[in-house]
Amino acid sequence: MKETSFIAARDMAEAGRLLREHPLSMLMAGGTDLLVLKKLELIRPSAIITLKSIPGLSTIRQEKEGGVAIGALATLDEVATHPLIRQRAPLLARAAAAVASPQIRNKATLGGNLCLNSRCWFFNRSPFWRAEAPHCRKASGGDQCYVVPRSRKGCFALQSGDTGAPLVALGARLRLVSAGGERVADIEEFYLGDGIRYLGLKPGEILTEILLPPPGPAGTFVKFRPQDNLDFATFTLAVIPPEGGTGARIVVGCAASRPLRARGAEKMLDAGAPEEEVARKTAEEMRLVSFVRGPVDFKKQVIAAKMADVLAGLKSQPQ
Amino acid sequence: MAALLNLLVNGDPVQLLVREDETLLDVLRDRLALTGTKRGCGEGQCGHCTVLLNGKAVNSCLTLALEAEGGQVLTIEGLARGDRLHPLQEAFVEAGAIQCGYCTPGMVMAVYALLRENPHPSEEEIREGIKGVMCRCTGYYKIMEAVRLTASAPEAK
Repeated sequence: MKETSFIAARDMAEAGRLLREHPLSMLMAGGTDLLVLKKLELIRPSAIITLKSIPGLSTIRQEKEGGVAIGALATLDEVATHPLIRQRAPLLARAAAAVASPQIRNKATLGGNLCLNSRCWFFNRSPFWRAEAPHCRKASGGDQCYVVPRSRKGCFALQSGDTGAPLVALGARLRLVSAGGERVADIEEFYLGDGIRYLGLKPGEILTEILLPPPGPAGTFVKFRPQDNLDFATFTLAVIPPEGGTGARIVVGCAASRPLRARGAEKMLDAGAPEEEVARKTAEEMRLVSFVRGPVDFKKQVIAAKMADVLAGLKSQPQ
Repeated sequence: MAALLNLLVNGDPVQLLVREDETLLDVLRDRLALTGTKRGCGEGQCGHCTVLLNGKAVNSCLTLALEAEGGQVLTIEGLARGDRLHPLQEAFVEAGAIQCGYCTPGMVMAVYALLRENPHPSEEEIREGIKGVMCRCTGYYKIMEAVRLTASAPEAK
């Protein structure tokens, strides 16, 4: 097997050039997931271009009109503890703090967490284990899905970064830079909803900044997993209450190939519907198919229960 | 491809030629013979390879050696002063927080990093601080006790 070369990019222009010169290359931020995928032979990049060497990509700064711009290479620990983020987007700070362990959070980055490869029970396994499920579309380009066996195409691997749902709830936008220039995309457009083609990144584009709008109501973040350990979430819940009867956000993360908004339940929350009904509607609306990290019925039950807790908590929160 | 790596390991300057895919753990154990740092899962789950890089606890198995260029690394070997154990190490002995001992170097380094930033952690903060290191023997109770002992000692840091 050809060895992978690691190349430290010195600036964005060089990173862009390296991406073009090495079509089979991949970008690395913190590397806490990428290096594991490489070890498990789930990715075989010709080159890994490391971004940590580019100065200025981890800056967290206040923007005009009260927004916050977070460099994609800011570590999850920095995001979790930064006073500006704790104050303006406590939802995001809590989600960053919920990721894995302190050791991982000291290396893993916010950009990396958003771009985290989708995960599946049949994908994130050793080559030895995968030999028993050799036709997985994501792992080996096969023609089967072991999660939804009757599906003819598509992949149901789960979006798994804890910071995805809260950033969708906050209405974050992403700065994507390429040799051709840059664009700012809504985070909802960034997730495509397929486990294989899961990110709306065009060839040569690099996520450089996460832009938070001026702060609104504080909201709540919940990460549910069977044990309070390092594990990925069974689901995450990001809820922002309405302000003056509008703007409620209910987002369920890590349960599908993209964070899911419960739009019907959001409308009910805006209109001041009873908590139990909003909670029930949230679970009902979720189109979940994957049994990875728990059966669908179980996930829906727990989503409804946690949602009811969250809404009760928001009611008692001082506004 | 290889490149020159400069590190300060436990206070000593080190310069060596490393391959670009070598991890910090590979360099510490196989090149510098600092085998106190243990290799466990190699995937960032067990935390046995925890060292401090520029004052922050990291999984050395998930850190490329060249990422640490110019950095300061503290391993378990760097805690004791000659024959005198670090108070945190003493506390682990005192509390009986060691059984098979395989997780101990990583556990001690994780706690060291925690107490460095937060000398008097709450119960919950201790749990979060040691979350990244797995111990299959002690059930964590004795480890928690060792942390409490250190945090309450006057010379704690």
